[in-house]
Amino acid sequence: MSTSVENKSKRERFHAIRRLCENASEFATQYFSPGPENLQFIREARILVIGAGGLGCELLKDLALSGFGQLDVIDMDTIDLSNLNRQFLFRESDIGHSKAEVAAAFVSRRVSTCKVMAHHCAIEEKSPAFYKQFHVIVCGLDSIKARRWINSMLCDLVEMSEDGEIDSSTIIPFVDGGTEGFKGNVRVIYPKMTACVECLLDLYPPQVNYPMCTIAHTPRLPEHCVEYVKAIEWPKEKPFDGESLDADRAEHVDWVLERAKSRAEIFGIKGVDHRLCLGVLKRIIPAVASTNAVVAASCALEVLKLVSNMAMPLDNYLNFSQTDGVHCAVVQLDRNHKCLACGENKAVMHIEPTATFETLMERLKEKFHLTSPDIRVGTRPLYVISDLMPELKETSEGNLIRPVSELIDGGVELLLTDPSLNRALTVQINFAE
Amino acid sequence: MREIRYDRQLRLWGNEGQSSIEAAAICILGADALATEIGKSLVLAGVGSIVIIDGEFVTDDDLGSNFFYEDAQLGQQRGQAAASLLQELNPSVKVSGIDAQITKLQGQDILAYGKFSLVIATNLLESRAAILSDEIFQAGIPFINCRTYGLVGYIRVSAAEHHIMNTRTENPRPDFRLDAPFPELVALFDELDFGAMDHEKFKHTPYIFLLMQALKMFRENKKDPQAFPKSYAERKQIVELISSLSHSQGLDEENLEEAVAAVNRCMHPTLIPSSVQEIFDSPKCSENTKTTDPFWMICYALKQFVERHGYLPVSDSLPDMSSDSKSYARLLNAFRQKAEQDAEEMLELTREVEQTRGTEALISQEQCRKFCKGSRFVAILRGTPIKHDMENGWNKAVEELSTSHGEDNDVAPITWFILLRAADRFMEVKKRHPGTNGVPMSLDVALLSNCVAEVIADSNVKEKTIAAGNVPRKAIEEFCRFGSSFPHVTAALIGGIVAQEAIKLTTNQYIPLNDTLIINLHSQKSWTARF
Repeated sequence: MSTSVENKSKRERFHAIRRLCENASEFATQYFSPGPENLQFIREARILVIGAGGLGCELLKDLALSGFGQLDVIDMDTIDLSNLNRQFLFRESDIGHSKAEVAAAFVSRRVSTCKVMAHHCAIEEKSPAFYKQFHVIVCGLDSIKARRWINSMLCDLVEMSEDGEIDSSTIIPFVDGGTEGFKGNVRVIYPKMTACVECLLDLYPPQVNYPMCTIAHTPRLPEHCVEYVKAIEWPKEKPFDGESLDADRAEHVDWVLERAKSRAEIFGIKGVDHRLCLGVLKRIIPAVASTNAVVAASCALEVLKLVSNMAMPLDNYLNFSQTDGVHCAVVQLDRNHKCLACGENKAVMHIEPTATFETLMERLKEKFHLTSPDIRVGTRPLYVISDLMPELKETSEGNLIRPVSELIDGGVELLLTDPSLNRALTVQINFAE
Repeated sequence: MREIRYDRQLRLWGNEGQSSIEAAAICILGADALATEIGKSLVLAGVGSIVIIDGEFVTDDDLGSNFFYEDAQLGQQRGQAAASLLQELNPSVKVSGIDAQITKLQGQDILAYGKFSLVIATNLLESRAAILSDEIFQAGIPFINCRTYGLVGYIRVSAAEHHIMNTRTENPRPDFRLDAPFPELVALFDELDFGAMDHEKFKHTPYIFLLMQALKMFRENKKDPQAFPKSYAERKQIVELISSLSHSQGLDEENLEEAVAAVNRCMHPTLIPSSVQEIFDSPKCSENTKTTDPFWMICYALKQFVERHGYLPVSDSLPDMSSDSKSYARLLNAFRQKAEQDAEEMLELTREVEQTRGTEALISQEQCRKFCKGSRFVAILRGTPIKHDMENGWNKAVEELSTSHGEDNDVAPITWFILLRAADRFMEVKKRHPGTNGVPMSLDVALLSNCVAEVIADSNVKEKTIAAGNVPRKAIEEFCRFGSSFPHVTAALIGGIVAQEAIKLTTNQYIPLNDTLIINLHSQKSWTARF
């Protein structure tokens, strides 16, 4: 086929999208004006897909077949055999390779009208300038931490004009999808305009954490036995020359499994097997191809709407569930004006002056969903654990048992940094009498 | 290998679900994006075999909307081309394509292509699907009809009789048998002396015993050894009795909190659920029937078990309870032993049924155990054929339309169902989709409005004008805008849902759609109906 014939032939494609773009509709947004330039805009729009896993693979396919011509995909993971029941761009021969690179190459090859650029790295490695180049960002992530990070980045990219109004040209709309088993959700977020990930943090189910006293003294479930070996026996016995526990290594998993079985035996607990052990160690979320397909298609459709205005966007949170019949329900969720990412970004916490610093830290971790915060007052470190500054470890740990009032005055602002935040968080500490 | 590859789904439907999936033979009619998207999820899940029947050839538009064609396949037979690219997703599945014009097939022709466990039709005119599916329905093979039209999706599940053996309900209400405790449970309870317990011992007592103790006190107060709380007020008394057991005003007594929280959920008489009773009442569940269908044989065994004992077999799925390890382990063991004992008895009864009906042992011990574990949730769905939607079902649909009213920009979901039928009428008369003749759209809007009036006239509903008036012009215009538009995203979304419904029908787990679903992708809301 000569190039000109080939190009003509490719123009025949996307008939479905062209009909939607070129015909007027009462269901379109007020900004929609029908015409061929809409498809042109779709072709040229810059879209970033975050995650090349179950949702990411589907998203790349869906967007490429919706007429998008330039996609970027970012993922730091490599391909594993257990991905192949749903991540359909990968084959057994791809195991161990970069998800982003294999997915990008596959979609670019299969859909000749679309070029996908791969970024095999963590999202935190990219600068604000990188994120700024996109018209819409769509996320298919399995981690709340990564979602919060990108959410906060996109909120920070929104600029204010001199009169304090939001400069809407700096808003990058953001579509977020998530799945677990036969359930999923989709949301459309305009950073600083509508409810963001941080505003709705309480929607995520709390992580299953078994109380340490149950694990140590009154285990009843097979999960308790695995958690015990992981939290107590491994650090104590330091197997494999003191290596840290890696659930991707079969010999590590087998070690834990054997120990967990013995513990279960002692307490008369049944059901410790390999599948369960791996599930606990890796905190595995069950996943099937079909739910990923549904949630990703819903996300891709929203991207298409945002770019073309050909239909009203989702307003603003979709719940999908398919265990008992089929349910797609939409709710409107409101912003939290005290939100740390898109609101006033100033938090206050009250504490008794006699409480220990450790108590304060635990409350901060709980309230702001932090994993391992470093805490400072201005430049003075109160609690900083870092390989780069080993000398701070002793003071930091010493501070934990001291009363808060010995360390700070009431009304002081603490500066918190944490792996789940993309910038420091300021919390004013007031003493409660 | 299989264990790791399927790990994330085995955690949902278990080895028994996976085995059913691997034994399934699924036929897909059509090879457009909707068909291949369904195929994709099923191939990934590991179904035994898939046959794609289609009589078209790969066009340029297919290449732009269907991921399972590549440029080099332009002009090739679609079924075979799609099968070859779907096959790459999973070497364990047998995927093949058959070249046949679907519009010329009868149900018998499809049945002749293979021994299918499920047939899925994609984007057929409804009248066509009704004719085609009739013999398949009669043969007892489940059928799913599905369509995409612009931003509207439609799914219809049609199975004469579907058995649900495991609903996999999240957080099911515990089956504690508080009104009818079995002897092993009573023995454990009798060991406890609440009056003599210290705080340490009390707070490590599993909450089921607190419920039993409160019930005992309730009965003593009422001077009626059979009394059982019936009303909210009586359950409140139970809560107070539980609280009176506290050693520390409820502080540091998680078991007490758990017991209080469980009262409203668990203090119910142990009854035979109506869905199970419905099965017992079926003619197929009696000694007069000759059926050798394993489901009906084990259900008949279950019926005899219930006649003998008054209750279903005990289930050993017990929730976690705050407790010391030993007390919980002993409690769980009591439930397990009883469940085991009941399952053994059920297996004997089942063997007797099999013997009487002259079959070999069709139900394994493991299957019997699983069946007993979930016997409270066993249910049947009796479906109607697609042709029902052309007859009595259609009257109901138009009736629904005549009483519907949309809100704001939301058009009532029934409207889209009616419009699909009207667009079919348009297609049958004009041999093209509405909005596709290159003339001003308003002409086709008028023609499609006429089709709406015509299909409404096919019903026996009296208020035909009211019904027609409830189809807003903007919805008719929207259908003309869609015309022959089959966007990939709609296909991907509907395809994913259909694949999961196919998994439900195949595994007898979860609860299938009953029976019609409309999704409007403007709002992304779904609507379920049964006409």
